[in-house]
Amino acid sequence: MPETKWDVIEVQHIRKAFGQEVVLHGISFSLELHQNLSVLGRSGCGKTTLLKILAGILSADEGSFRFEGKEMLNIKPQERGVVYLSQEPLLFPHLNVFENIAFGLRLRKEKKDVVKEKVGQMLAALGLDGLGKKMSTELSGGQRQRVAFGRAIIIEPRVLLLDEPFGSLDVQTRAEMQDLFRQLSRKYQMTSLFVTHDLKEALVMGDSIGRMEGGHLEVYPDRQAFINDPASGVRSERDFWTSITQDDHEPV
Amino acid sequence: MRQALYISTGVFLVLPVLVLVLVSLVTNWGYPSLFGEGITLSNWVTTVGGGGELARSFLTSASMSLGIAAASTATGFWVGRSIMYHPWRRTLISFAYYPYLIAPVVLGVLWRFFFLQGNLTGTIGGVMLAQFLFVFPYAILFFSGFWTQKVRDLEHQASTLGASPGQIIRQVLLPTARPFLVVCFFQCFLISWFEYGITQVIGIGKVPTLTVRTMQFVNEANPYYAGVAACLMVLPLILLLLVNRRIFARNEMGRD
Repeated sequence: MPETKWDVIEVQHIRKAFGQEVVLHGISFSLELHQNLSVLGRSGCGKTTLLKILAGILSADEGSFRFEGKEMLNIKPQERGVVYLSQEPLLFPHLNVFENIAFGLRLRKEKKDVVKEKVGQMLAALGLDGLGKKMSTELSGGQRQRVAFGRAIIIEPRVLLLDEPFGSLDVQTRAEMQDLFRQLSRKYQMTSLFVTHDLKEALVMGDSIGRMEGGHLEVYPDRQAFINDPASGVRSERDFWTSITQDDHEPV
Repeated sequence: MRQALYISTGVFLVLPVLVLVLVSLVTNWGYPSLFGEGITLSNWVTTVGGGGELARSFLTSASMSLGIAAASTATGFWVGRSIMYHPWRRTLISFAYYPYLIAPVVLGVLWRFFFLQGNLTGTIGGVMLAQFLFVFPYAILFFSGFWTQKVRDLEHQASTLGASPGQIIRQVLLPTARPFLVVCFFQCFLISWFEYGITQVIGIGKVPTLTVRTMQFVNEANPYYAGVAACLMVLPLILLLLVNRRIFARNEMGRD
């Protein structure tokens, strides 16, 4: 008997309009457990609106979002287990690094020693050993984003939604964070939706890749299909670098 | 340079208070005497000691201002939130400027008809309501600087991490807003404490707050009792300055 793959997330025909402006035109996709779907899209294409609807911050006009068959859109955001992370690492300013990461555990009334152990492990995994007592204002942008990651991952959410989380970081820090995210993703077996406007990041981060434009989402069957699609921009990017390389070899 | 600045600021702030204290202690201060004559505590004993009228006015003013500051800060915090998260926030917030476009006395005259209809003139409740209506918009304006998109995003973040609306208030909003709440409370207290025009018009002289008493002594040409009243008036201001200084000093140490 063939093995049946369970689509853990099933989003069907999500539509959203703000007044007369339709931002999402019936978005549909599915995602398996412990997989990461990266979505490439320009600013204003509706990426953030989609993520906020899935997180429960905004309501959809139409459509459904099912997790293991259960409808999520009518569940309160605090009960969905879907964590949304924005580009700006929103740390609670009155809490230090340790307490920021422990925030979700404390809400769940975990025992003190459990909180201490889990947060300690998370700090180590994030490379933030010894920074537990620092306040958010004392951290760099990359460190703040790590704390925001840790705070989200430690509660083991059903789905993690990342809205251009590395958009404000410099190139080197961005590469480090991509590595860290991939490691954590494997370690904690995360199911996530990673939105970015960076082509390379979309390729590097996703187990599957989608592209969003004008409120429509297309999820590619595999990486090659994404590369072959002229609209993805991969080929033009490759041609650009090839031409640069050729120019370098031509005599001046 | 910095020391000179501190000294000049100190002199600027402290000297008028010292003059007030001196005026409250002398029994006669006429030309050409430089420091007055007969320095005693008799003015204080007469007006403040043994439950004197100024002691009663001080307690009345303090109770009223504390109540108004607490009510204005609490309501301004939440009403400010509703306004700043509303699509028409620009229009709605502009209404909060209304009480400050005209003089408080004129405002009191405009309101007096309604207070007369409600039998509220000449009562402590009426004056407190009138002062609240004057101070509360200030609290809204004050908190309009707090309710930014970032705070809203923090609320959403907490929500997706599992916080209920109550937990968001207790564990995110109130701790984040704490410095704003403290400063707003202080400022609302001071606005109410020094308020005279509305109090006089709505209170019609029957609600003897400290400002009303001070003006009575001034009108009676009794500078010595007015000096005592004025000393009592600046007392909370000095206390608040000292408390503020301690808070700021603690914050600075926290940063270090």
